[in-house]
Amino acid sequence: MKVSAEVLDQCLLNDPRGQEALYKAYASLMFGICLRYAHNRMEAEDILQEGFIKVFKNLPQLHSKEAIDGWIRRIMVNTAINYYTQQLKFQNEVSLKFESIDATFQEDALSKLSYNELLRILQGLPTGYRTVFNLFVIDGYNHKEISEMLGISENTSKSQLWRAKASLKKILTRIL
Amino acid sequence: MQEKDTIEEYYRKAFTEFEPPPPEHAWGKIKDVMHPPETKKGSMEGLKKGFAGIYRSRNLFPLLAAAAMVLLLIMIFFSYSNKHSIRGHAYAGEARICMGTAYLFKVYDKAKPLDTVKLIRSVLVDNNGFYQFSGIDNGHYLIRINPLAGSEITRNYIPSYYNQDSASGEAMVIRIQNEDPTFDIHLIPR
Repeated sequence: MKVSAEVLDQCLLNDPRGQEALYKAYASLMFGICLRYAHNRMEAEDILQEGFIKVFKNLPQLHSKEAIDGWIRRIMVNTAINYYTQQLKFQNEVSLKFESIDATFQEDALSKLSYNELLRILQGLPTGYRTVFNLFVIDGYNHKEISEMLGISENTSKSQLWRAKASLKKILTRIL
Repeated sequence: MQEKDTIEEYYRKAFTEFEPPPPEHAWGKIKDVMHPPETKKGSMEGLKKGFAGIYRSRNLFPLLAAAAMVLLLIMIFFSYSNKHSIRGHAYAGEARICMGTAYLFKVYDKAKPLDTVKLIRSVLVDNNGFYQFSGIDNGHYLIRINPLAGSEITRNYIPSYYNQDSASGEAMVIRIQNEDPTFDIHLIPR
């Protein structure tokens, strides 16, 4: 928990000082999430603003102050998913055989890429691939949870992840 | 020793604690949504608070400027409401003329009309002999009709003022006083 209970109480009273303190505590981490889910920085900024407004407006629904970290994170991820809802197009694939994509690179080779380069590659993926990759690989949701969040089947979630990794492998192999 | 790493693991490691600096202006935008500045809102509540603020600050300039603007609009309205129109038809004999020009002269000294007249307006006479001057103040005027140059009428009639048809004396001065009169003008035969 990055803020005190007093700050949360101020936020519950719609006090701008408390809201600013909460924003400053979580803005960097949340902006990192937004950048991963967004196509570009401008859209990430829109998602960040929309997400924090939701946080402040829905704060009375937070049952336990200790759960604030995960709660804000979930709101930000959901805001990002909703932002791209119109663009999310998934092919339903029920019988796809997923071959291993355990592409390997020399560790020092991958580490030569900066955050910005990795981010740019991720942002360049189609929205569906990028969303599922983010949810599964970085935010730790399983395919069942992803299927419920995005309204798709588990197999579709798996196929999107597979395709995302295949695309990343192709791009990274070309670069490294 | 060279370890192997998968794309998945590498991205997970790289972005799990990814905390880039947030955009500088973002908090301002969020704050504006959560606490909109009252003066920016168009609501009546915002307007009332705005006036109350002006009164409290004793800065009456905006209030006076608004009052002056309202006064100006009222004056413009009344000045236009005092305007009149003069209309009529032009005749050559018994027939209305086809095309020509109507001139309106302002008479500043009724006792000496010919020395103190000034042309203030001219309009075309339509092919049914109709003319009209709009937005005319109260006062004294002369109206003259010139038939279309080169037309058949100019061979038989001369440019004429109102009420010269029966007499060749001085043009008749007309008076406009809170009315929209009609003056038919008969051209003088050569």
